[in-house]
Amino acid sequence: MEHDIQKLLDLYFDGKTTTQQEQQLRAYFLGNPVKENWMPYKSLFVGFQSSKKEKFTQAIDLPKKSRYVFWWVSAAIVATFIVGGNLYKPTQSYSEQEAYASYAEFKENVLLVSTHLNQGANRLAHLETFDQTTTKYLKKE
Amino acid sequence: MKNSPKKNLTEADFISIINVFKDKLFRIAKRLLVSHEEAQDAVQEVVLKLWIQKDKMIYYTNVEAFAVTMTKNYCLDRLKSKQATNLQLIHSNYRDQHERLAKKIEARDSVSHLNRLMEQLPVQQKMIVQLRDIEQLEFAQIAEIMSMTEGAIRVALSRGRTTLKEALIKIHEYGT
Repeated sequence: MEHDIQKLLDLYFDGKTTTQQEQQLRAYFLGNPVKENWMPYKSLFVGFQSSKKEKFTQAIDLPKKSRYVFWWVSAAIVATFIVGGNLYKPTQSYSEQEAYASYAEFKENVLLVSTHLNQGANRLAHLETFDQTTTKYLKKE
Repeated sequence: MKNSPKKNLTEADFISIINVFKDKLFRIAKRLLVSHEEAQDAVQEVVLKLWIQKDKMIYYTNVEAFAVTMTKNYCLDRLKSKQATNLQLIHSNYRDQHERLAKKIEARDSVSHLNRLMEQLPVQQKMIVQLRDIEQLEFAQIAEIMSMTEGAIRVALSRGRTTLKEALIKIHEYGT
């Protein structure tokens, strides 16, 4: 018996044991009193065995309906803006005039960007013509 | 959204899948991160990630191996960022003070011996010994989790086991 176990131990420390052989070693060292110079091996297998008993004791923490939270939050933000905007209308103040002024300025800037963008887009039309003509010539070849 | 062919994996279904291997994830995380709290956080984090992509989970052939791989990667990232910020040093000092006494008390206990010895192993060996000798996974699974060949796994396993053996023999010879 001890001779067989010694063979298995050699394989084991070479990383060459099968699952079944390791099961055999485990059973031997966990279930039998062993000779003095095998005590370190016993602590090894006993240690592994005890390590396996450790458990995750916390409750698993899942967000409730995570998928819809985003939509609710965004809806709430939009609602705040709408309600807020309506509340401020009646009392037109200096800061509101200022806001209108900066809005106008912003609009102008955006329009400027837009015209440039449109110019750019128009240039793209040339590309199409270029594409058509090149395919025409390429087909000829 | 109404018409999408969504599989109805309820929260209860999900939890029961997770329950099968959550202890395993925790032990692996604790092996790598050492701290109990950090290991718990790691498991929660991994479970949350799985929950977010739970509809895809049905298509994985082995959810457990996938979860173990996620845990391993998460913990390795944590270790890397800890090293970068030098937190590890502070953390291990803290642990030393608090655990020294506990370690003295359990000095004869083979679990704490083994835990301490395993802490000294290189991360890869530590992980492979954990997966094979504690979690008792098959070589094919370990190879998949570690993205290594079975041959390389066996070599690392042999080194890890031999280091542990030699340290245990030393402890046995010179007493605890």
